Amino acid sequence: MKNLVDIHNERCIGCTRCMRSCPMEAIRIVDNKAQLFKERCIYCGNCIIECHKNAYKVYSDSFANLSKYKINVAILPIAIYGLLNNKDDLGGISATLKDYGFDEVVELSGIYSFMVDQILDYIKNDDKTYILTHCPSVTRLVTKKYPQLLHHLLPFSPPFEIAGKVYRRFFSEKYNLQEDEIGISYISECLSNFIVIKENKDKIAIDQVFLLSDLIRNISYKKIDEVKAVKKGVYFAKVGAFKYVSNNRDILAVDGIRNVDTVLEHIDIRKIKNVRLVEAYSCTGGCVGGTFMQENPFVAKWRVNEFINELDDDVTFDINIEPIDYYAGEFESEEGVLTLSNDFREAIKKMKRINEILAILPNIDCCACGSPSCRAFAEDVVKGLKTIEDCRMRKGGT
Amino acid sequence: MTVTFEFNVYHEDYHNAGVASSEIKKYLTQIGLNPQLIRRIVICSYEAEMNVVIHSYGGKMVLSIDDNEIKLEVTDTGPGIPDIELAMQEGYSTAPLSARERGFGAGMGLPNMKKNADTFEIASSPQGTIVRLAWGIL
Repeated sequence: MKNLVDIHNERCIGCTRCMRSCPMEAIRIVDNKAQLFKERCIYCGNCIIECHKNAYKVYSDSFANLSKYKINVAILPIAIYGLLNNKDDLGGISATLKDYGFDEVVELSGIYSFMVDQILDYIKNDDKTYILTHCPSVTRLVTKKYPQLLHHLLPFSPPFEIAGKVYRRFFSEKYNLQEDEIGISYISECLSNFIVIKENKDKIAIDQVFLLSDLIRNISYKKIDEVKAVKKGVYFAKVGAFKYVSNNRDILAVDGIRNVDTVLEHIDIRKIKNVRLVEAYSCTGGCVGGTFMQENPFVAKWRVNEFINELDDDVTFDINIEPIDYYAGEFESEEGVLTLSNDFREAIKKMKRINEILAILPNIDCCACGSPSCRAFAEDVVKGLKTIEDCRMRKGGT
Repeated sequence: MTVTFEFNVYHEDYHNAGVASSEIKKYLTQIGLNPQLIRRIVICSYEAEMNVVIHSYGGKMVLSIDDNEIKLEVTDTGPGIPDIELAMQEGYSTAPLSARERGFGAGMGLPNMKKNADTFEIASSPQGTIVRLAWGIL
């Protein structure tokens, strides 16, 4: 099987940009080419955004697969509202997708608006600080780096998955077809949604996934479809929506994966109390900052605001949503991906060796060795990924 | 085998306050300690670090890890705690306005450390304060 994220060796020049942008230290430069260590990756997409050589490659599904289904449904991401110039554009996008072979085009604002009440209701039960699970990268960061915070995660699926289940049922009833005769495709705005779907095809309610950036290039606005958005849900294209629509003061909104990391750390050491819900998004500005948006997140945010002003208040979402559609159950811990060794004594031994190596390094974190910091380099030497000679800045030598 | 880490902490350096605790957390995770134990250690190290930033002229933290025990020794260069018994009371604080404005100085530092460490020792004189914390590894 192909890797979910690949690096084009002929394009990669080993510049270290992606490596330095990675919040998980999951990238190294080996023989002047970037290498991704998948077990650490949380699919935040920082590397793809940082790469100026377009060397990162992800494989979207083939449109040929659409022929397997009697009816194909495309789900547009909530971030789509960051790309629209006016209200009619949504209809234009819908019409264009139908030219690609989709029979129905739906968007997510209804699902988001429905989830607001479910979540507010759920967090009433105790006074824990809950973490929103709309963003799969945030969820992954918790499972890999903060396994002790697993019980802080809301037990809800990300909205695209809820939409997959809800619309599959809805359209199978509408067309009087079996559920597996309906093909559900998600047009992904970001790497993390994209990968979750790719990795869990057998478990998830989405059959195909395409990149928003691939589709948005060819939008024609000649034909206009009727697609209605629920105002309350459209806010969720950007960070802070939860706080805004619920008018709740004890919600903390945070965007950008490094900021999210810091906030999680604060929750972990109980520096943050009195916060009931952390609305966290991996990308700058929330979903509008998605990897495949190809728009500045702040411009996209402004567009969302403009779009919201044009919307009617009276559009509601009337499709039935059952608890089974949105309950994800407990998330699994991936404890151990950051440890040096499974054996505690061995790990201490390695740590001691790392400190010894670090002591003879320049400690300027220049990254020229292909590791994201001097400390990471020392770790790599101990792990056998690098040799001390790979440090180009070391004086004297040992 | 013992591995040690040393961190300098500076008076009123709010910008970097918490960095040492962050690193401590990273190293303990790499060693593969139980996350719940890590949390207890980091709560203490964070409180200790903040105490040095807020109350002292500056100091350092030394973390040492061996097969049986994690030790954290926090020392500063003064001015010392005049009445330790009083300082150990929950809610008692001598933090200046500059610290309180930043949300610190709730008077829970030392009590929290005592609560979350397996052993807790404190000694103080005008030349400095020393806090010794330790946790057993099961």
